[in-house]
Amino acid sequence: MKASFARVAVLTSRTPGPVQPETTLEKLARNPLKFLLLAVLVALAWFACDHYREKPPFELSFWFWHAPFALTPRETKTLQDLEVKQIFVRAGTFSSDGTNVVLVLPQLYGKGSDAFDVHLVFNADSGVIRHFEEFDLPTLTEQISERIVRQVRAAKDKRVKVIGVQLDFDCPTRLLPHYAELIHRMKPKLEKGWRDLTRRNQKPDRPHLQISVTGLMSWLGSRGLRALSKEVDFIVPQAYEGITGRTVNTMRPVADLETFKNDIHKADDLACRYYVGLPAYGHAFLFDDKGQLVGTYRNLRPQDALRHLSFQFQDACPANRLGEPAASNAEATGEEILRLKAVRPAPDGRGAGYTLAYTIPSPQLVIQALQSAREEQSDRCRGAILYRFPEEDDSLTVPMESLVKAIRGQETGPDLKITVDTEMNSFGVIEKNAADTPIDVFLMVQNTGDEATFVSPDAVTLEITLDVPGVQDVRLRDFDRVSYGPDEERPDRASVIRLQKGALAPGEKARVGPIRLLTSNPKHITIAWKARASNGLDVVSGVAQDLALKPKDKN
Amino acid sequence: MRIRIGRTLVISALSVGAIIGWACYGDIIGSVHFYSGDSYYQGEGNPRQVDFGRLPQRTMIPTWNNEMQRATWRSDWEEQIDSSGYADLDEPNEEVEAPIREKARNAEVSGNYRKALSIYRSLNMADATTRAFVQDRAQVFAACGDRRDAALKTYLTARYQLDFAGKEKHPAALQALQAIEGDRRLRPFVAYTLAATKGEGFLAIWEDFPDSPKAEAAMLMEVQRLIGSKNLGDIPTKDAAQKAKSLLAAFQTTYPRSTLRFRALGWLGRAEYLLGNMAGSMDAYGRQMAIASSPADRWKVYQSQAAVFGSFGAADKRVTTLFRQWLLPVGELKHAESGRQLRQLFTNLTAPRASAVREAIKRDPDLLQAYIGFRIEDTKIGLPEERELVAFASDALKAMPKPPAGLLSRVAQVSYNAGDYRRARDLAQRGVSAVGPVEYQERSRYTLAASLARLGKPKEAIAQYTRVCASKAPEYLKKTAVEPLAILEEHYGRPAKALALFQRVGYEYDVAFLADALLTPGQLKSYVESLPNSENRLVLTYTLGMRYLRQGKYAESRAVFKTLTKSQRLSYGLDPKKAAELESNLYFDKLASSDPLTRVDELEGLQKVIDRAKTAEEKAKATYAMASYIYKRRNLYYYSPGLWNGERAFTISIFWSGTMNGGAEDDALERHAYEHECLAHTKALCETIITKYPRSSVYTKALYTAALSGERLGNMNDWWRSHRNPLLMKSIHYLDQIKIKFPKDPLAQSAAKYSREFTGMMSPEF
Repeated sequence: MKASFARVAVLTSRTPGPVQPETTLEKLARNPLKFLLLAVLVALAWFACDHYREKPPFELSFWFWHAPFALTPRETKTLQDLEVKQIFVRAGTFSSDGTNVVLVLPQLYGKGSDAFDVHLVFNADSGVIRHFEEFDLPTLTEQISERIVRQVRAAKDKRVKVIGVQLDFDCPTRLLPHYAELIHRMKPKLEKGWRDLTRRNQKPDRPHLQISVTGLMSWLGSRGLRALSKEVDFIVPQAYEGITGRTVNTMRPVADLETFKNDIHKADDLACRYYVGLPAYGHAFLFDDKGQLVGTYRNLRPQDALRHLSFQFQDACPANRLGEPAASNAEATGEEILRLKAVRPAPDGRGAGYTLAYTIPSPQLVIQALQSAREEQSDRCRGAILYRFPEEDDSLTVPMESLVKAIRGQETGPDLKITVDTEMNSFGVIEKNAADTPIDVFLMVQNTGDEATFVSPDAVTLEITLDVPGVQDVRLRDFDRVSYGPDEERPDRASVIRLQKGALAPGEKARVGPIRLLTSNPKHITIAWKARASNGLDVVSGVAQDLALKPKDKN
Repeated sequence: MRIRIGRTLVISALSVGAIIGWACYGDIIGSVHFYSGDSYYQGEGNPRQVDFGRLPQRTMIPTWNNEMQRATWRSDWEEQIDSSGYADLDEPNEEVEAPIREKARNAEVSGNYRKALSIYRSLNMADATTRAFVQDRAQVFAACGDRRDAALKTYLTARYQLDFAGKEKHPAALQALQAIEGDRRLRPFVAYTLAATKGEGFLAIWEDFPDSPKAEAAMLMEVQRLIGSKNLGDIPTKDAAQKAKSLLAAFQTTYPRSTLRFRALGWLGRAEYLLGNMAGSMDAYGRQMAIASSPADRWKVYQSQAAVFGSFGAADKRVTTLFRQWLLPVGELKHAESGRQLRQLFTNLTAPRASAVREAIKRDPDLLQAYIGFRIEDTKIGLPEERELVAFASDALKAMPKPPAGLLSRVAQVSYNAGDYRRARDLAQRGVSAVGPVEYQERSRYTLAASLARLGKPKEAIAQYTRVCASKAPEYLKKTAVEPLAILEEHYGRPAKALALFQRVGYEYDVAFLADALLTPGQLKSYVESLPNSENRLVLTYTLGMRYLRQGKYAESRAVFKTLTKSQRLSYGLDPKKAAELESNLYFDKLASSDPLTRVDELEGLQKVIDRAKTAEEKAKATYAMASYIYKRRNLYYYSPGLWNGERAFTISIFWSGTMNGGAEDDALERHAYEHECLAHTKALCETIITKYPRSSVYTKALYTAALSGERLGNMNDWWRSHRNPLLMKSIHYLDQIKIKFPKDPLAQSAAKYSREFTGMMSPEF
């Protein structure tokens, strides 16, 4: 399309030759209809060029937010398979010590950190944002620039392939011109620091240090953002947390794809290219006893809160975009909302009656977000950055196993493998002169699927049926609760043991046992299991029939 | 007991809706007042109460980090034990062994065979190859050590290469051996080595050189060839067993006084076993046991006997044999292996067999002792089971007229563990005076001390623990006894003695806590003065100077700091190189590393202005000046980094033991925390203005600064965060005072804003 436009341009700008023949314009001037037709053609060509420019390849990247920044060979291979070219690594957080802006929680760099091009990301805590307009701009420029250059140098010392720095300052929209001015002042200092690396025998990988910023969807369309976009190489508007509910009943999921679809086209007017920031995470909020938002919460993972004595499970549901229970996959956002009520206060005496609420991401969230981003991609949009790279044991990020499949648009699901071990308890015979050696059963349950389960008390359920009734005791270990059946029997009369666990991540193992049976008489058990998929709507199940209860001779 | 634990922590923090992970890899600690990383994690954040009165065990169970620790600390250690690396503990370390071998070999090459042999004998004989090699060297030097000819040298080189060099050197070594034309004294050695490399031809050596020391070994090698198992599951034929039995009979006739008799009887036991003759096998093993010269040899015999009992279905006898094996004073690997086998046997022991074990245990004091020890140390046992075990053991004990010291110490131990301190005390008192090895007597004394402490007799307990520490008991007991002894010394009057004890066992963080917080400056001063000149004394002197400085005792502080040179003061009492390394790791700010004497002078100067001020206004202004000065000096102004090795905040925040430390320790730590922080000093000075000079011109500034100091203090580290809400509440109160009483003050608008902000920050910490 660009080529045809160029040809038209050449035609219209040709100059007269020495013979002075009639020019095209003169010819056209003699025929207004033809002139009009040509004008329409030119306008159409212009419109086509402006609106239907070819989309660039959709690049995918990640924000890496935890520490140390290290990648296992397997993670590196996975990222290479996904054609990831660059990673955005949190390099430090700007905080205020009351007078100066200081850098806290600087990143550490471990093995595998040299596998990809890296942008070092610097976020700012609420203190810096709060005082943003009050700081003396030259001092602020000096302090931030100096600290960034020091971190770039530290990263390069660890062989990290730094190609850019990114600022993640979520300032109010009215302060965007101020933010633009800050970056304008910082740029020469950062460039100087980049050049100085050469003198320190740390040859930069690129002649130019890229500078970028993250952005809020609410900034789009503002003049301030337009000014900011002139100062940076690219911007990353984030398609999440547009609205955070202020009360426990109005809390929303993280993703806000509708706002994203409505507003992202405004980014095409920016002076620079852009990526879109997409969610693959969740978080926790604390609401007071009146249901008002107190703030974010950081101490307990959802599965730990489910087991915590201070909390009582309230509800868990797959959420729609308004945070209400979704009735179907079509309506679901791919996020779970889990709520727990504090039934006793924290050790400091506060918090009784508070509500702890989580948004928990599923692979479906990533599938939907990526699909929207691809559908809305314009020629100015280079791709997406997922927030954030999964951390081991963090149930508020989509696990890597699921993430890879979600990016490829493939289905995922949990699956369980159960192994049974049996022992006889003979100490009682020796110490109590007991007549029998009751059987101890040990179960190991592993999620061998590629997706975490839903997080709720009934996420994983085992129903163990004995051929001879009678249970002495169950040591729950990793499981949360036990009940006896078939109809709420006393344990010593029970022929069914029901076990529940609140969550199981892919690859995670959960143990239960000893399940001490009453006697040595039972010979077989049957185990029926169910696991709720992370979308909360699907259930997978299986049965292991007639497993023999025979101690292995391990000697 | 010093518990050496690597700790790995992940501290997470949320920032602007995002989780920031921060991994810290600290060093190794041993401590009483602070959790080890391992015990912290075993309790999944709720560490178990450690009872330092419980007896430690001789063989500790390695953690995931292959470090030793108390079994009683773990909740799920029985899962860990099977996957742990016991083998690593006894295996010779090649980095240690190789230089010794090379040194011996050098002596050998220069013809000094006696010296070479002496060095070879210092190698670790736990390795079978080394053992056989050293024995061969002793024999060959004895047989032809007076010669220094080329043949002997070639043999020595070739054998060395075959045993210790890489495989690529083996063909050349074999070639060299085959080419030796030595005399009759050397030939059996060459022939034996060649046969051993081929795995055949042993009988020819016996026939050709019946008088050589290699003849006996060759015969047993032939037996091994016949009935040894090259691969797991290989079962030799009865024919081979019969041939081996005949050879062994000939061996006994030919070499009745052989040094290899012990091995020969072991092979005979195996041959009889393979022939299905249990009685014959047990007879051979019985004779082998009679000539066993070491606990390790007896351990092997028990192992063989237990295997035979197992094969013939006598599981109860197998268990009792393994209990006898469990009691032997062998190395960690073997002891742990006995426990492992027993633990697994008990998982499928039928009721009739278990009853038979019960009857055997009740009759035999050694078996009862082993059973109690095994239950305490190698199985998971809770309080109800411990009580049942006490009842069972006490019942069995009644039928034993003169129980040995070992048994008494075990029954006393389990009685203590079950909370029956009077019974534990009475039994331990009997155990202390009973006849038996010093280890058993001192184990009883340890339990006696612990029981006395529980029964409210700390002075007597201190006396008994002190005797354990001074006794000839094994190190594991003596060192562990330091822990309860130090705790008692701390609680009952001599904290400086506790400090000395912690220094003795190298518990760095306990030393730091005691020196920096628990001891009064006066107690610390006396202790420092009793120390010889050393880096330790310098660091503690620096700490003492800081303690006085924090308390505003400037004259005392100056006097102490002046005993250090400027260089010592600037390096916190450490070696300057160490101090520089610490600083580079910790990003110290420049103010903190100024000469502490300057700090003394400056603070004293500011204090003097306050003291000289005549009016309330002047006093208030001077106090505020001092508050402002300190506010700007934070955060390491009062720190003694050498004492804490730069890890104070981290150690206190993460590892302060909530289960071990009670009121006195918590109070001391809190006092220390307030003394240590500039912001706390600022807040206290501002609060002096708030209380004493409410009409002064700096009153609102004092309110405002006190509020901000309180808020910042409440977020300094995890310890302060756990004390945050009361600080925030006070800060909000101060800000509200400005907002309400001084609405036109220039600070009123900001005060109102921060009052709102701080209110929003007050979230409960579940």
